[in-house]
Amino acid sequence: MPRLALISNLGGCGRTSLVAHLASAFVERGRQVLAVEFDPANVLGLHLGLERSPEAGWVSPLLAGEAWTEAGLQNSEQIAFLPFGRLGGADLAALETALAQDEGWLARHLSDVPELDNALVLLDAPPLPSAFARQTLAAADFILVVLEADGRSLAQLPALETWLATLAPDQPYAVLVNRLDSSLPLERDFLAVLQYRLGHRCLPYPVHRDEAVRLSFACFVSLFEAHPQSQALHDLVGVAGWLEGQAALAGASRVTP
Amino acid sequence: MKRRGMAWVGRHLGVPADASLWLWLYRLFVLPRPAAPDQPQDAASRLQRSLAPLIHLRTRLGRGLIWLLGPVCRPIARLEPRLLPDPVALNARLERLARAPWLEWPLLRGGVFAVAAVVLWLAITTPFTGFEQVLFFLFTLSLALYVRRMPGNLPALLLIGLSVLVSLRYGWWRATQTLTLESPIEKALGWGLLLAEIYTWGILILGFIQTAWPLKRKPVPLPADVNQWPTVDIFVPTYNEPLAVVRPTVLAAKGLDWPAEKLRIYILDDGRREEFREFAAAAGVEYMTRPDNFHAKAGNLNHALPLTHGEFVAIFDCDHIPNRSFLQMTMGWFLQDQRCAMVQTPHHFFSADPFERNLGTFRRIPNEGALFYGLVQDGNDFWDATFFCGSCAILRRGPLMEVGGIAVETVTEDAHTALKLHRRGYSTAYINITQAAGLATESLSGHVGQRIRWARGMAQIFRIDNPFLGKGLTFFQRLCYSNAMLHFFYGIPRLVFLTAPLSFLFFELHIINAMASMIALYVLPHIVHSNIANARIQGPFRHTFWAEVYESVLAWYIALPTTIAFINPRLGKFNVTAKGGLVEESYFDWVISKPYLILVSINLLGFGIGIGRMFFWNTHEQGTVLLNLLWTFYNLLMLGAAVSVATEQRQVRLSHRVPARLPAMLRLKDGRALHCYTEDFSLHGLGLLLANDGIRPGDVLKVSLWRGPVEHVFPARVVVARGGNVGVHFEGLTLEQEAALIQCTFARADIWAAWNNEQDADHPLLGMKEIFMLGLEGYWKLAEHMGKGGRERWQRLSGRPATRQSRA
Repeated sequence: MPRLALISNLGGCGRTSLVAHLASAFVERGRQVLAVEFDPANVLGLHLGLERSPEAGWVSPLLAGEAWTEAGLQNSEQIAFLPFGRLGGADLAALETALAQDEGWLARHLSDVPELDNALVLLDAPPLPSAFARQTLAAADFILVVLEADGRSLAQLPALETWLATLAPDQPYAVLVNRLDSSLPLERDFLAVLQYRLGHRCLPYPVHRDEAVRLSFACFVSLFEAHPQSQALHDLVGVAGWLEGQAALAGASRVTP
Repeated sequence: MKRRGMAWVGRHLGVPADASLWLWLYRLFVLPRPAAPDQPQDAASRLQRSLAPLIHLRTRLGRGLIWLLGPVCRPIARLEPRLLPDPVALNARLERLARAPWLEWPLLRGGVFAVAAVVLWLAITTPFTGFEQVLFFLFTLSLALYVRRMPGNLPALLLIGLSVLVSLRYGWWRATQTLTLESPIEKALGWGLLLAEIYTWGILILGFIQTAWPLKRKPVPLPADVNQWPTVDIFVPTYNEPLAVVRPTVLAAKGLDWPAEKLRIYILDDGRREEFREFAAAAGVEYMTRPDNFHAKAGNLNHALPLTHGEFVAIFDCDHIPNRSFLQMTMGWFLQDQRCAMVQTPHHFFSADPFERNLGTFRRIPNEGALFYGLVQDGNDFWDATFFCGSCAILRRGPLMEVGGIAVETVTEDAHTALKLHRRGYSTAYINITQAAGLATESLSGHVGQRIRWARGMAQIFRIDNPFLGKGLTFFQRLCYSNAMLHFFYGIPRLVFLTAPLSFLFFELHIINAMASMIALYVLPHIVHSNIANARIQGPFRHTFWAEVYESVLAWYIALPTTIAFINPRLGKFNVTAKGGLVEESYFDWVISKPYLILVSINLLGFGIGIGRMFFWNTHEQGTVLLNLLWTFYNLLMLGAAVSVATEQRQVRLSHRVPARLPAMLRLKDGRALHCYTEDFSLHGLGLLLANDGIRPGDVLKVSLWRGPVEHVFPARVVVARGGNVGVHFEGLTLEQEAALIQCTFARADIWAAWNNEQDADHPLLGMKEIFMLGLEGYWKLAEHMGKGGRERWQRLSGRPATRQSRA
């Protein structure tokens, strides 16, 4: 059950939206996908087509010892996803305590679910250095670090490198630059610097900034249906194809057409 | 059979069966039998009489063919695979045999050659009767048609061998049996025709040798250690070309994949123009002028040589845009072979030359240069005789200085420089991978001017530095150079062929002393076999019959300059061809087509007379008349094609579009980014394939292209938006953006690799039909423009304003 985690040390770099669109891209390429939200913000559902965030999620029943996989939803693109759901203050505190005590909490619970064996699992988590993000890092087979081509990314690159240094030596990861506005010379320069600093760890395809992404979000429609010509979509398909070629993500069964 | 045939011919000519040869000749070519007094002489019955045998023959032939085709051909076709071995398997066996070790034994080898020489001698010189010659042709033809189906280069050599055999046989027959001519004038013309034919046989055989085994050299990879890569100077000589033409070349040269500190680019400006100096400074390249303009381009390059220091010198004509991979593709051979002094790559043109534009054959039929750069240079390379072609090439400085720089004695300095290098024992190489592209000459007059220069220059070299004489060349290098030079002497022989039948049609001069049927029986195999062999080796680079079209157009213009240069190499003037012009309106070039119009007129007249002689008067040698009519008809078709080329078709745009599918991105004002592909690109804009998503003409946007993984963004304005197409025009590019644009488009390493993929295949018989149509079209266009010209003259005479400017 290969797991792909999207992680960032920046807030608001389009990570959750990237999870949703990458899920679409994998489905487009014929793979079965399960998106797991591990973020109390509880907004992944909106990116996958829900008109408001779901009340029920998978964490609350799990904490209560109930059948938590019932919380799974599926959208019209056949993307299965587990929303985080709304969590009361006490529950959240309990969860945070559990996470602090058990580094492998998420990994263990995810592997408890046998019917997930066939799917590629996409994990969404809040920015580092939250405990949620650290749990996600520990649970992932492949880590996709999301950055933007701006001064913020560059300034926090040393901190990111420190985090990445704590990973297991054989833990594969790559850095993706999201929301690149290539028409701005400054962003092109930042991209060049990031690519220079990160070398081969930087994915060859940045995802371009594209108003179509926000338009589709605002209209509760899939980018893939509403804006088939968009550059962001083209980039996402390229990224999905690149990720599929990574050994750590191989092994998920393909849907036979 | 033979005797009955002779008796039949004799009856018709009024010659008794036991008559002497002289009477036969007399009756055949001088005076026919006296007309029988009782035969009616009116035209209608004469026509009927002359047509009768034809009709009779046609019926018989038709019946015979049907009879043959039905029950005979079908079983043979079915049996064929069983009767004949599979050509592919046979070829494999032949190739094994050719590599057999015992063939290396000198005694055996010598023996085989001796036997082959005797057999060849017999096959060439044994006189045949008509029937025997038919059998001989059927035999060689069947062999050729079978061998043609075998893959590989060895069968191509067999086809060449057959063609040479048949042509030599024809030549022997022509020289020994057809030259008994009557009057001095017939003797002169007859010998002239024979000389012209000897020239074509010679060129045919030299060409076969030159292209027998194309080397198809592959590039050698460079060492991984960049420190071992040598320093390179890039020379871009210019004289009067506009800056807009030169800019892309210089900017592309700047982007060559080579360490920046080992690459220097020089604009060598013989025009001494301030804007060039400014551009060079802005682009960060060197700029060089000289006080005089001696020896044109060669002198310009020679002036720069002592002032520069790179180990290698690459030369690009100012409108040849190099690909970024040029040095990577060529330098490897220099490092591997220290004697290698020059590496040449093809000259490629992304705009249509006048032939292609005016005949509508662009990218469909191989152009005039395709044979040279596609096959001849690869063939030369096998004999280590690759010529330097003046551009898209790189030379080692040491050997170049050793021969005194670029040669200045002739107007084709490039070929002469290579000849000097070869004489010094240096080798040269050809890499048949397009690594630069430029604009073809715009107008027919420009094209003709360029070819005149080449022809003159080659004739000059042949005179002052004859490759057959002097030291340092191998035998085959001598042959290759000689063919390159002699090949340009086709002017006079071609004019001879275009007028030869007229001497008979106009004046009843017999310049070949043989029966028409015998001539046909010898000429036809020669033509058929040389075409079969050429179609095999030249197929993708020159379609059957097209050599005739190209030569017919240029023959008149090349004849005089080559002759003069041959007599006195110093006479004549050097002219530089203008590039970058635009034919704004279709017109007929009356000036350049004048010689062809004259040739057309006299050939038409001859054809008319021939028709008359066929049916109405002097109908005693219909066979000869028919042969000459066919010949004249063929000439008229070639001349029609030449006339067709002279009809300059309007050109739509100044910046030529290159079809290419490259990923692109449009960033719209509203923040959306659209992914799409280009349909074509030019220096000024892009054609994009894109379902129109609210894009309107006039919209300002940014368009992205990629060079490898690096994205470049260009400001542009939408000029066309309809259906699935959007056309954008770049606006306000900075010099940096202009350079990036060249790098993303023209200078891509693989941009010209698939250029010929959509070209038609060579089908000799279809080609014949196409030439036929082209010839007819030429006359149609001529008639149209004559009508137009007449109208204009009428309007001028009658005082009304002419609607169009006449250009004649």
